Amino acid sequence: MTAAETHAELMKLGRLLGVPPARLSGLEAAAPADLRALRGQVGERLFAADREAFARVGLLARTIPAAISAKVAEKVLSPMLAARATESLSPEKAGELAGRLPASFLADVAQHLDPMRTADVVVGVPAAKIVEVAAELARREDWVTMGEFVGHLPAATLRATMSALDGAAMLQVWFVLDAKDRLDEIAAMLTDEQAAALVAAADGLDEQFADLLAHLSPEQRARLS
Amino acid sequence: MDGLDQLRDALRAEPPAGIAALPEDTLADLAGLVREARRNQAQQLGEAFEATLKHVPFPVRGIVRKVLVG
Repeated sequence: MTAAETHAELMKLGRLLGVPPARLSGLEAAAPADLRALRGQVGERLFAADREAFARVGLLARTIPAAISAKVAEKVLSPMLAARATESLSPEKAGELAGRLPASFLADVAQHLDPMRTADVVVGVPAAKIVEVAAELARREDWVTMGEFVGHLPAATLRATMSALDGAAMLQVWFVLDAKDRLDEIAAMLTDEQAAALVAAADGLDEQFADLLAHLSPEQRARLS
Repeated sequence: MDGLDQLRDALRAEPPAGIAALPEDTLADLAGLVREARRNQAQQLGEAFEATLKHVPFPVRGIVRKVLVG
């Protein structure tokens, strides 16, 4: 448990509640695992409270052509509402709509998606679009959002996503990764060039690099040490 | 109602033990934030439904209204 993990959790909870992380300073004493469980409960409560309305938005997306749905979503839905509505979509429809929306809007929506309920939906988004969104999130240095999702991506999409990140970005994302149990698999995907870039970026990101090494098998640790 | 009961009520769930052990006023404040988020979401939904009807092309507006409003 580190202060960085607590900060990442407070940032995610703050987004869900619509307040800055500093507003949640009273929760700093709680363990990251408890904060994560609390976030799940808040997300479930918010979704359940308007489940019927979100289902209607999902039904609308299935009823009218994707070109119109995408235009309406971008014009009138806040990223938070678009995220909640996404939870009512099938992976196929989510992929169809995402393909028609700009990466900047999808990056806004990604900040509000609950990976606990949307991991299956995100799988439907084309890999090329996910790479675009990852590049946009990296440009914003939004490691927390990426850290929530990359662990849910299929291996091929994950490999493509890594091509959009430099060594420093990878270290920052892996540090706040929700699915740390995939770190060894992810490290094994690194090309020699990416591994070298990651090691070079470790200078100045010591905490992140040490955390990565601590989650690797001896084989992958040796490769990066 | 104490802070923990307020949070239970706002979440409709039993908070994790590590959260329930936090000071009373922190729990009451957190419960207030959850209720506020719920209200904001409901308000945004209402506004988005209204705005949707204005933005969709006329030929599909009837279908959209039926789906959104019932």
